[in-house]
Amino acid sequence: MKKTPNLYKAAAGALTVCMMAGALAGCGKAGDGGSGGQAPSQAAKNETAKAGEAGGNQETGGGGEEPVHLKLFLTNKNIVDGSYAKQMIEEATNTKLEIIQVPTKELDNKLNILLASGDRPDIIQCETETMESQLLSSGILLPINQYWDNYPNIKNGRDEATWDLMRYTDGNIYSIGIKNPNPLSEIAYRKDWLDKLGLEVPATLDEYYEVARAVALDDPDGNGVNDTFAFGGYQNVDTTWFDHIFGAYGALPNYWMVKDGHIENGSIQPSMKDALIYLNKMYQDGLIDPEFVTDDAKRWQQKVKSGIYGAGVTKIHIFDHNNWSNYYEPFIQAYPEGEHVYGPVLKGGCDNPVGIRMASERGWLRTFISKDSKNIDACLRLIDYLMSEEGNRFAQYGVEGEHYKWEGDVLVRLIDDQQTNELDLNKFFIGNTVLFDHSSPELFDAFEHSHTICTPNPVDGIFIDELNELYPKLKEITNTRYIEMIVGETPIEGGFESFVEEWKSRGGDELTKALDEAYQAK
Amino acid sequence: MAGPKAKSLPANGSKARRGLKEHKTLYLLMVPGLLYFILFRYLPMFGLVIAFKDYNIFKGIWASDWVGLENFRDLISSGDFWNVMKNTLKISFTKILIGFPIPILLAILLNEIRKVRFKKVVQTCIYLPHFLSWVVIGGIMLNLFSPVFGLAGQFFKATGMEAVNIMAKKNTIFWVVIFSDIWKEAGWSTIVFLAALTQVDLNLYEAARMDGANKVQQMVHITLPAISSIVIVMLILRIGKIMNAGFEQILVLQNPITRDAIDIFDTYVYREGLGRGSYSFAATVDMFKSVIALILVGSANKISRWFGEEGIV
Repeated sequence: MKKTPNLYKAAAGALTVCMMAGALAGCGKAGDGGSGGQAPSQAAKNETAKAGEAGGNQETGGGGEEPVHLKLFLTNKNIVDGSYAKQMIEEATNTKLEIIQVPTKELDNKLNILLASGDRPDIIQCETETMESQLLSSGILLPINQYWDNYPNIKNGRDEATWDLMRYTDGNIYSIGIKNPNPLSEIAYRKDWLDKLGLEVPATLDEYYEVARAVALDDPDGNGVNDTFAFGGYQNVDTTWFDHIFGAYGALPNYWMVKDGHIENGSIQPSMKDALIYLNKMYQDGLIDPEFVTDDAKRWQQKVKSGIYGAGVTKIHIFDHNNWSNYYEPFIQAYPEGEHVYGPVLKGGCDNPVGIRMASERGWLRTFISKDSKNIDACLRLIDYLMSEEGNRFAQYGVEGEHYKWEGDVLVRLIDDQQTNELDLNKFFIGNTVLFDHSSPELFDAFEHSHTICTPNPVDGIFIDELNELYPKLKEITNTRYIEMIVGETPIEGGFESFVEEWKSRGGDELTKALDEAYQAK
Repeated sequence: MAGPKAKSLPANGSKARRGLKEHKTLYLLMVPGLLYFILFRYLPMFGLVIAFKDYNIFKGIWASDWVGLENFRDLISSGDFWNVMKNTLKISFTKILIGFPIPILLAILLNEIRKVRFKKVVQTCIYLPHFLSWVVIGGIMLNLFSPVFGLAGQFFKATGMEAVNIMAKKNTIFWVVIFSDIWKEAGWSTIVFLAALTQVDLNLYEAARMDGANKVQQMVHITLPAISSIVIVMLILRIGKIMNAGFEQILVLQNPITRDAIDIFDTYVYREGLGRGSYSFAATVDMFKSVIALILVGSANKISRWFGEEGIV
């Protein structure tokens, strides 16, 4: 019995802790709309920001008013609280930004969870069309075109054609995309290796096979080990990196095309069977990196940068001698003599070869404003600033004289990548236009060429529910079956036919029909 | 939890009140645990209603339309379901069949080691992988098994065998799943059995030796019976998790070729529910899974009682 008092104390202590936890949990639930809940460290700062919300609602110019607190849901660029660029942007737009950052791969999942919990950020970003279509039909987005008269930088930030692509079926525009050159890939060969092997840039599939074989098996890097390949990839056949082969046979898997005036999907075109046979042969001969099945985008990128691929579609960034997105620098360090040269769409597969696929002209990331945001003006103000020439250039390069200088019409950066990273420059991808003021002429040359070897998507910007419900599964089936056939897990003879059957019966026919109707109507 | 809870439900009401008064402190101590279970385990269960609805995140749980058993019908008729079911059971049972005896064996072996330092070092080494996350292990395995740049590639080259990517083959990935799981978790599970072994009365061994029993006989007649009850409890707990074949692990090891071969309930729910936003369907799958798991634990418990062991409830 002696111990009883202690026991009581312990019990009381445990209870207190528990009740506090309970109370906290309750708080979280009750104050769902509360903005500072997830970032306790910010809570204090947010208090002051919140106080200014009411005032911030009406005024648009800033100046003396308390900054407006905005909650942003963005793809992860590791923007740090209190960093230079963030502070400058906050100052310029009189806002206080709370940024939820999620890796692009997780963007949809996290956004789904966030929306399901009823916690809506003021500014939302998404990458996939599935998510976008879900958001567009939900009615939670702000029709930007009804507000943009006061924000000329938004309105004039894109041309009419782009805005038309962004227009939803109800006639409103809800999203702003990142403006980027399109496509961002190029059919490219290692010039130094071709020279060494005494080969020319191939123009036909047969010539290509010869080049690919030499690049992969004749040890062009001269290290005595078989560690070079024509190309690799990451777990998908619809990531552009196989497009020079598929395209040579006249279609692209998981990509829409117009055939005899009607919309059809490239995945089930009969000529794809020949492309698969070709790819299977390449794989068996060891010309394709066998790790393309297990690699992820990161590993693939590392390999591209270290220069082990020499004949296939690659990132166009590697042409920029001024090291855009940090591709050229690591490559040239690995191969001081290294050089890339682009090539044409390959002939010899069919009568009407097509080029490589393009990203949506709508932009690879789209930004939306929540209709229910308490600070619509501040949201628009922020985006307007980032789309303005001044804001756009600042967000990417910083301040003239301090972080960059002009030499003629070429921008020269005065800070290196690491410093750029530390200042959080080149990280605010919200409705901006990606600038190439610092890039080398080789890149512009490649851009110009890439426009001649790409295939536009005929249904870019068309949104129907079926795309949402059926297409993701169909894409997954295509990827899986194609890769199985390429690596020889499934025989192509018979395997391709049963894939087409599967594709059609699991909603492919239904989707194609619905999409064709929408296309004809447009 | 089990003790006080059982006591709080006697037939006689006044007796219960007396019991409550007598052990006030103990019941108070129970409150935090109960609250935890109510808040984080039982309340969220109401979310299961979306399995019977066409849940739309923008409408919310209550405003979404009821659809009855349609989700369940879709589930049973979908081609993926039986594949997922088969894989889950296959992977789980193999993990138990091969993975469950190994920690017991390890524990017995470790227990026989007389050098304390050596025993400690070995023990630490084998349970260390438990603390690595699957994402990290997945990365290590990719490098290790790379047919071009990895150790596996060098092995294939040295032995003159044809290089294969064992992480990307339908027939090898299953064993990669099983053995990587054993490698990661066996050491950790050993700890429980080691603890049980320390409880064994040393006099028994001495007596057995006097009667002329050798090491193996001692093991069979003393060690194993002594830890059999803990083995049964662990087995029941393990069977309770049979429908969870290892979400994180499978997710990391899946790629287009191996996806169907090792697709399990959890990865399926993740892809369908979060990846594609069909929450209702995902909730249906998960509910189905949980009901099967409940039945399995229930029956395992019953069976263990038939065998004269105590069970867990």
